[in-house]
Amino acid sequence: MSHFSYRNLFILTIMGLLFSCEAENLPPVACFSLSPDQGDSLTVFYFDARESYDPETPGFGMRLRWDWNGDSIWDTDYIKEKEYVRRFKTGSWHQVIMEATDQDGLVSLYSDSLLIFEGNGFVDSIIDPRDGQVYSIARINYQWVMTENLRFGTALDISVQPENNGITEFYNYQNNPEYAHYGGLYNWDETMNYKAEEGNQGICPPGWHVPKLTEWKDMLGIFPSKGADMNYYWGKESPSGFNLELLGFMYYTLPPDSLLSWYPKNTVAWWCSDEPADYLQDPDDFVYSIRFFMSRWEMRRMIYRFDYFWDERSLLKFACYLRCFKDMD
Amino acid sequence: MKSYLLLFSFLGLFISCETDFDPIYRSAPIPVCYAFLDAEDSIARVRLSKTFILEDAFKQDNIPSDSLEFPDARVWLERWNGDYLYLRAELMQSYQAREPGLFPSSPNPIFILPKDENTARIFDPPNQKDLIKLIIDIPGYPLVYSQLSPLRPASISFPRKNGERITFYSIEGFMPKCKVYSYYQEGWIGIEYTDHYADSDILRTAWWREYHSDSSMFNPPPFKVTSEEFLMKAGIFIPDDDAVRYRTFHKVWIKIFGADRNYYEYNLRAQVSPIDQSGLPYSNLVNAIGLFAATSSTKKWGVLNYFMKDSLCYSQYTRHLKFTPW
Repeated sequence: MSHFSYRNLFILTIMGLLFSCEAENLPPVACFSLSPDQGDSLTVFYFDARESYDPETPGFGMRLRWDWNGDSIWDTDYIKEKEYVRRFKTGSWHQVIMEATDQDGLVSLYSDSLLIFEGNGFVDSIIDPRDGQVYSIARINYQWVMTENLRFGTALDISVQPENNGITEFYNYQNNPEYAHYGGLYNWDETMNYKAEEGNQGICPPGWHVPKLTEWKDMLGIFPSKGADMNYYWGKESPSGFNLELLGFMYYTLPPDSLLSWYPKNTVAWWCSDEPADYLQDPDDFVYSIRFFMSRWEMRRMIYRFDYFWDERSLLKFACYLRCFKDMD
Repeated sequence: MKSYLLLFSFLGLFISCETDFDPIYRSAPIPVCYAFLDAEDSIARVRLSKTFILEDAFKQDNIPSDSLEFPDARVWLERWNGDYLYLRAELMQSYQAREPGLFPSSPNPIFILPKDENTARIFDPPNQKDLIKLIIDIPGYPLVYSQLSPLRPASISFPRKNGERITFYSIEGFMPKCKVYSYYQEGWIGIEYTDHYADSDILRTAWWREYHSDSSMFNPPPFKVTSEEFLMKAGIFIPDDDAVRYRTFHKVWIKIFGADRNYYEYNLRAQVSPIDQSGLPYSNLVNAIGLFAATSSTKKWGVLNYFMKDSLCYSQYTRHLKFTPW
């Protein structure tokens, strides 16, 4: 090889070395966190993309743009800000896509999704053939449930004890007929129509039954049982359509002791049909109820009947509302 | 060729020498918001105003009365447990008297949330995943947003309960013991006393800061106060007043003030003026400037033992304060 060729080879090697050492431009790293991931049309969603960065120009030069509904049409211009807040007016799932672009035009995408609650689309009504009353119902987590408290039967004055006489009897809240629209406060015996059997029809309309504890839990499992605003998730116009109202409930004894307590309207309780052990044998046995408070719900064991003064007339009993569940086909 | 080059050079010079510079850039007003959440408070307050530009030199009477407020703004505080809403509460608009200062006659709009049975859950003791969110909806403006983790107040384990006798005459001095959960803490000592004048008695408390943490120091060493330090600071922080006939001592207060990182960062940066005055101050609000921070305050009180009370009356540092031992 001639001297000239060696020189050319040397120059080419140096040039190749120089060009090959140029750092390759990498696309930016796109990511964001979303808080919360579900809410309603009033909820403000916070998109925090501060973890996004461009390896070549950390902190500078990167622009973001957003597509709020996953339709591949960018809803914002390129912006520098890495924090964004907004509401979503329309319901259902939204796929949110963020594009990060660096100064050289390289792009990265990141996406996440959020849920905007809509009202429960599965709502209907039924007519109780026994008395013609109309009840609203909703399908929640594959279970049809009444979204009003049962009002079937005859209202009693608080001085009278419900009996197994073939007539369904209940109390009105505060013993006041003005509260009849709340629904009836039934003791557990009346609720079960004096037949302790899980999933029993009890005093529910035909084709419906007093729910078991497990059925309640299955239905309520779609939202957390505590640390959440129960009215927001279960109240009127809630995503569940359950129509929760904290209407209180009561316990009582017969005269002459006439112990009586009305639970205030910051709680409510509904009966479960689970049979207490040794039903009717041990007067201090428990039956189950589902009890709601403002920020939690829980299963509560309630004394089925409590021999307050070892006197038959002083048996303490609870009276709760009833939401019937539809029999599964 | 030369003439073209000359022409382009001149053109380039003219274009590049554009000097349109507006020293007062008339941008839309920016919301300014300050809100501090303290679980011990009976009310939550959010102060909302806006930036404005004056056309002339500053005078008290050339500020339009509506230039400091957003009359149609709506403000919410929300508490979230992870992704689940725990409480949403809208704040009521109210007006508060201004302290003397730059705009004493201008409106001072604040938004308040009184603590009652419906709203108290905003102030509940914090869980790990809890967030409190501040949302401000101003028509025509982007949503203003901020969030913070609620603060768990410090607990003071010594003095164990209110009313205990406190002595500063031990070898190691008086050492309150406390457990803190905040990013930043301060320890304060206060003396509660009554000034007896010829015609009236006025109850007062003189406070001074004994300790502060520089940064995140959970469970810092308890601060200690010797008898001499206590008396010296009492002599400094309780003001001289010739009209006072005598003073009576009531209580010694111990206060642990806690604040979150937002509060700490804001104060830290506010102490340092940017050299070119170009930077915005620290802000943790989206689409606004200001501060949304959590603070807490825990207090306990004790009484001085006989020797300490005697010293308060007759020591070289405090005898001029006219405290009486009865």
